[in-house]
Order: sequence, then C-alpha cells, then structure tokens
Amino acid sequence: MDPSRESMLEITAVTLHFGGLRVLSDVSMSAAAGEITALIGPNGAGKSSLVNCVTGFYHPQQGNISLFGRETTGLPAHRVAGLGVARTFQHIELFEGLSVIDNLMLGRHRHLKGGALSNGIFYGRSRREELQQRAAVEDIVDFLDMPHIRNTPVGLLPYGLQKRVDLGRALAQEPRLLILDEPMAGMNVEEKEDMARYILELRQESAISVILIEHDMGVVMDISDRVSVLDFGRFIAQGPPEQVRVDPAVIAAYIGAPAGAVTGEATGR
Amino acid sequence: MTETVIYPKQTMPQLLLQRLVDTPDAVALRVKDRGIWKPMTWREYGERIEHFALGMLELGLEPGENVAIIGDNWPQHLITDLAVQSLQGAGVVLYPESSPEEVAFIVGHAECPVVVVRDQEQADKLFEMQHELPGLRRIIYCDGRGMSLYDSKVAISFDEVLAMGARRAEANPHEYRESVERGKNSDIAILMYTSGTTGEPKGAMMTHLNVIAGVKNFFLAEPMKPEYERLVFLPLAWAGERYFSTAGHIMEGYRLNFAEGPETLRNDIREIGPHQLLGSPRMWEDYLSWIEVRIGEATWLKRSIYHWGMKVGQRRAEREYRGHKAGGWTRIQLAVAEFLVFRPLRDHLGLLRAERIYSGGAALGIDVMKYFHSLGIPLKQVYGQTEVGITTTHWDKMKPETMGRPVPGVEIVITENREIAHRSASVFVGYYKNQAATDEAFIGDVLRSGDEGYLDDDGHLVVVDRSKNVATLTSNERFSPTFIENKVKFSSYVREAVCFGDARDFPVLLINIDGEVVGKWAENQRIPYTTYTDLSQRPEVIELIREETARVNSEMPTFMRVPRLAILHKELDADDAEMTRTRKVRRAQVEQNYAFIIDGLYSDRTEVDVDAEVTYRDGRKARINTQLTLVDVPVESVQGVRT
Repeated sequence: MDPSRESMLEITAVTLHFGGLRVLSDVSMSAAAGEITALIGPNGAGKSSLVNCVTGFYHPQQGNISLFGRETTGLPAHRVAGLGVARTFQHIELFEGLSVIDNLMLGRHRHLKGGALSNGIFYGRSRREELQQRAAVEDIVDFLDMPHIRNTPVGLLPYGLQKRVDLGRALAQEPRLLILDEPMAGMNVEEKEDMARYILELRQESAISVILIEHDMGVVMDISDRVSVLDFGRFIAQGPPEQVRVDPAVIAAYIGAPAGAVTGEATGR
Repeated sequence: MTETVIYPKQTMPQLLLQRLVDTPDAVALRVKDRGIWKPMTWREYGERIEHFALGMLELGLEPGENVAIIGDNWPQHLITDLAVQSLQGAGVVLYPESSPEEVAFIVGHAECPVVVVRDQEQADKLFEMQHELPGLRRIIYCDGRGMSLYDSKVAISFDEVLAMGARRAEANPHEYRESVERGKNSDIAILMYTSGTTGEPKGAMMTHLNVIAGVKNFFLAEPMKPEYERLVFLPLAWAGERYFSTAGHIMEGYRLNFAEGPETLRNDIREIGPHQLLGSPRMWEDYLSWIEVRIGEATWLKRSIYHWGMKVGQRRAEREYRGHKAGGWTRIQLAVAEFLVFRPLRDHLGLLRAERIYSGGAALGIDVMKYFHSLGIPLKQVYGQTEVGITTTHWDKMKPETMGRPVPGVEIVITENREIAHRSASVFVGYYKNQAATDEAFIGDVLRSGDEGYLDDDGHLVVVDRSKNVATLTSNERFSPTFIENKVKFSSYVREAVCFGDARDFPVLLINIDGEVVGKWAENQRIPYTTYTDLSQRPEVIELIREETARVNSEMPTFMRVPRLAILHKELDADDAEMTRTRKVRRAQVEQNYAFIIDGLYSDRTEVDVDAEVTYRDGRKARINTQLTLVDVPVESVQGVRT
C-alpha cells in the first residue's frame, strides 16, 4: 500500500460464518481518506455482510477491523457510528411520516449534547444547539439540492429523492467514512448522474472516505479510485478500475465465461 | 397628445446615493437562504455596491467597460449591475439557461472583460468557450461550490472582490462617490440582448434616462408604495423585471424578495405574499392548470363548491367589465364564494395581498385573464418591448381583450401598415454596434414594434399579432394565429400550440400536450403509457384534444375554425431553437422543423412518420421513431375538408 495514503479503514483477514454458512473467508481490504472505494460482486457475494462487520452490526469470528487507526473489532454499532462511520441502506431506512428536515435532524443525533431535561425546556444552550444543528442540516439540504422538499414528509417523495434524503441523513452525521449500499439501485439515468455528482463533489470538498457498493458497472468504473471484487466471500481482485475491468477472474465471475470484459466490451483475450 | 412628464436628471447610482440618505435602515431586499429569509438594509446594499465597484477596479476593470452577469436571480446580480453603472459601464444580464455558444456570443459582442456568475454551472460555460473570448480576464463567482478546480488567476469569489473593494474604500473614501458623480443620465446603463424570435441577439442600449423614464411613466399609472413586497420572479435578463428591480426599487424604496430557487418559487410566493408580481403568460397558464388538476383530484363536494364559486366569480367579472354593480342577492352569493372559494385559492397561490399583478412578454389568453379576475385577482396585461420598456396596462379599467391604455409619457402611433410604434423618453438609443438594425427599428423618431394593432374607442391598445405572423387565408380573410393558439392553450391539457394558415385554405394547429396534466388524466382513466411521445399519440388523448379543439372552434368565427391538427411527439424546446429563452415560440423555426407534418395536415393523409434525432443538453443523442396521427376536428361549414 502507498504509505502516503491516510488509511481510514483496515480490514485484516476477516472471516464470518452463520452456523455452517461461510459468508466471508479471510477477507482483507483498506480504504483511504479522500478516495472512493467500490465494493462489487455478484448477488450473495458478501458485500453487505462485510459492510455490516465494519459498522459493528455483525461481529466476525476471526480477523481484525480497525477504523481511523483504532481497533474496532467487536464494538457495538452505536459506538462505531460515534467514531464517524455513516451508511445508507440498500432498502431505504427513513421515517416516512417525518419531513426531510426532521429525518436529517435525526442524523445529527451524535452531535447533540443536551439531555432530555434541558432539551425539554429548550432554553439557553439547548436552543443554541438546535440552531447550530439546523444550520448544519440546511447546508446539506442546499448541497443535495433539496430546498423544495424541505418540509415534505419523506413517504410522499418519489424513490429517487428518498435515496437522496437517505444520503443526506448519513451526511448529517458528518462521517469520516461513508458507506453507500447500492445508492443508485432502481434509479433512472438522470438520478444516477445526480447521485454520482454528489458523491464526487463530496470527495472533492472533504477528506471523507467513501465505500460504494454498486451494481452499475458504468458508474463504478467512472467514479471509483479503487475497486474490490468479492465472489463467494473472497476477494478475487483489488485495484484501480482500469486494472479490475480486464481481470480474467472478474470477467469469469460476472459473465461466467472469459469472452468479454465487465463493461461488455470484447477484450479479445 | 401625451402629458409631459418631468424625469429625474440623475443616474441610477446617483439616485441610490439619495436613497441611502433617505432610508438607510429600511430593508431593501430579502433573500431566502438555507430556509430563512435574510434581510439586507439599504445601507448594507449600498455598501456592497460601493465595495464591489472598487473591487472590480482593483481587478483591473477600466471605467466604462461592460460587465456581464449570468445565473438565477440573486442580489449579487443587482449589486453588480449598479456597481458597473457607478463606473459608467453597462451591465449585461444573460438568461441563466443560455447555451455556452449564446454566452460566448454576447460576452464577446459586449466586450466584457469581467463576468459575474452565480455558480459553477454558469462558470463552466465560460471556461468551455474561453478560447473564443480573448478579452475575458476575470470570472467572479457568487457560490464557491466546486470552483476550487478552476484556474485561480481567472476565477475569483464575489466576497473576495468585496473585501478588496472594502480595503480600497478605506484607503480612499471618496473615490466611489466621485466616480458616481461623474455619471450622466445619457450614459448607457444597461445592454439588453433581445432573445429575438429571429436571428442573432441584438444588444439594446438603454441610457439611465431611458430606464428611469420607463419606470416613472409606468408608476404614474400604477403607483407603488414603499411598504410593498415585490418578488423578483422572472429572469433579470427580462427588461420589465430588471427595471422594477433596479430603477423602480431605488426610486420607490419597496422591498425585493429573492426566492431560494426555481423549484421553491411557488412555496416562496406564499411565504412572501407579494403585492407586486410580474409573471409570464406561461406562468399564469401553469397556475391555472395547477389549480384545475388539484380540483380534479378533490372530493365531489369540494369540486361542486369550486365550480359554483367560479360561476359566481365569472358573472362578477363580466359585470365589472361592463361597469355594472352587483345586486343584493348576488352580493350575498359573492360573499359566500369569497369565503369558500376565492380567498382560499388566492391564499394557496400566495396572492392574498396581490395588488399589482401583471402578465407580460407575450399575449395572455382572454380566458386565462378572466379566470383570475373571477378569483378576485386583479391580473393586468402589460405591453411593451425591450427597446422601450412597459408602455400600456389596464390602469383605467379592465378590458381583457386589450393590452390596456398607454401610460403617461408614452405616445402610441399606429403606422399606415397597422404597425404599433412608440414615442417616449424611454425609447432606446440604438443597438450596440449594429447601426443597420438601429436604422430599421425607427421610422423617423418613432420606434417600430413589429406588432400589428390598433387603439380602440377607450384608447386601449389592441394587439392583433406580430406583423409577420398575421396570416391571410386563400379566402382573403386575415386572422391572428396567436389568438387561436391562446384560445386552445386555455385548455389545461394543452401546454403549447402553434397555428399556421398563411396562404392556405384553413388554419391548422401543432399541439404540445401538458405531460403532467394529461399524464394525471391518463392515470385516472387507467390509460397505460410509457413516454411523453407514447402518451401524446394514445387514441384517448387524441380524442381528448380533439374535443378541446372542437369546443374552441364553436366559439370562433367560421373562417378561424381549425379542421386539422397534429399532436407533436416532443415538447418545443429552446435548445432546439424552437423557442426563445423567454419561452416564446419561434414560429419560423417550428414551421421549418415540422414542415412535413404541416404539409401532411394539408393533404389527405391520416398519418405521418417521424424519425427525429433529439440532442440532450449533455450531448447525448436519442432517436424518436414514431407515427403521428393527423387529427380531424369537427367544424361546420368549412369546405373541402372531411369532418
């Protein structure tokens, strides 16, 4: 690994099984600050499980995970989130009856310091804090071009916008490591382009590290700095997109026969 | 003969200095940012203008040079405009949707060494065309997001320029005032590039006197109060909006409000409750269909109340046009309708306080206007052109079929070709670097409009159509295609209509359905569809439009009835040059693009094949391959056509 890259996430030799089902075997990867790392692989390859290990939702039987230079294997999910890890979900997990703003405000939870009593009275520090949090949320609303839906209940929004709110909710946590689980699934081309633009701008404006799980190969190859390919719980390739794209093992995993590259172009191997 | 009006001798920046003495602590404008309306006082506004002017000098701008401004409406645009004027230069505001080529043409033609952009989207256009703009030295951006990628020798932030100006002001506190005092009201204050329905844009040069006179004339007829809220609604590249937001604002001291963005406008209007608003016909048509769609979704009871209320309102409007008073029983009905229908609807539209509400830029359909009058919204049409400002409105009485009466200080002359012409202190001095076009614009000392029209018995201006649009059928009967179009566009299912018929036997129509409204209708009728193209050719939709047109036909004189029409497979678009940036249809271009459909309409055929390539903004192309149905519409007594 390039020593100049500040590592945000180190996964070393992680193995996870549920009973007799081995989901991840001896998996290692890293993600650096200011980089977009794509995690790809066929359905059931173990992508979401790996992410769940990182966020502390699953606890691997073997191996180590460290975040921001700190060992986090076995830490509960809320402690991991407190360190600055945020994620979006493949299936949107938002409060449908709450407005966009309120959903985002919930994302600010880890930055709230007041207790139940002082917030209940809503005076002094508590009030100032609320204003600060709201200002931070408004910056995200502006960043994601959502002013027009600010007060709309999330349940009324179209799917593409709900995905955007989900991203906003994750950003409200001000994460240092952002995990996006299929942020573009089910979107049309225009929505995908918007989402890709937000992810790129995010990387450009801050030293955030992004882990992107995505099936759209065009998007992955266009915006990622590194690509890791999982298949049956093992990494079969890791490296820059142009290298992974022509890797025979990857082609075999995706297409089943070594006839074309992941993008569908014939490589004439 | 017109009354003589005395105009201020100052320039706009000089009037601003006066305003700063008169009401320094009053709120000059508000911007909605991060969900909050943030006020700026006149003192703060004036200070920013001073600092920005000096900051631009620091950047190397020479007094007298022009500066261009591109982006969605934002106070920085006005600050730039007035700052440039205080250096004896002219501000050039471009439409935010302008293509990179349009931007390059105008910035090059106006020789702007500095361009102020709102955000990266606009900056990209300039960087893309930089090789064609050797004179462009600096790009000043208001929103820094994404701008760190650019060459910092060219791109600089608005705030940085303000800070540079503030330092210069501290070192030399009198420089700005001295510069402002050097200005004369015969200096060119603004260059307005007319989007024009034909040809390259032309830069109309307006002096300070032109702009001030234009505003003053209008306010003599339609006065504004300092406590009025005004929403900056149309693009500032549009003459009327620019006049009300610069000269008018400074002279009368009302408040300007800037919405958060185009998507939030409807909500922001409601929050502000503006007293004054200038909208385009398109916007009022959209409002109307927005109401109709929502009423269509309401419960039976609400729908019935609405329809009853609208009938009562229509009767009131009709009575008012005739100058009659309502009787006792009617007044009770009106009070109930006001409570149940009018007031709630006005509230929803954000027009509860609306007193000075206008439609301008193109003709508004009579039915649309009557609709708003029924709701008790005093919507008036304004007529004018970039080169002279606003010249008529309904300031003495409402007559929906006219453009209103000329305002004081404006004389309207009808030439022997039935063309409308203007004489006023607000008439411009000419087109920038285009003497030929300037010569063509004048007959002696009157400014030609290119519109055909006449003054009626009340002295109201009736505009028939653009002179070149007025069509003559083979039967020698003359008609206005725009009139027919507006009649058809009153239907909320129709978004755009273009009528042809010159030197033909009868008029025909090309129609754009309103994708949103018709789409909803189709859903309710359980009609499946995929794309706009598919929807537009569904038999049920064709039948719907046929019925709508047949209804319009029944209200028209026989020779103006439309027996054949086609629903277009795509929306007319400015990027395909089919519309101007103000969303006016470019008739000649449409005629050229769809000649094969028009020819089909005048033949026996029932279908035409369309194989068209569409180019998206990002350069991607797609092919549309479909069959358009040529629709026969029932008319009585049109010969030679199957009904």
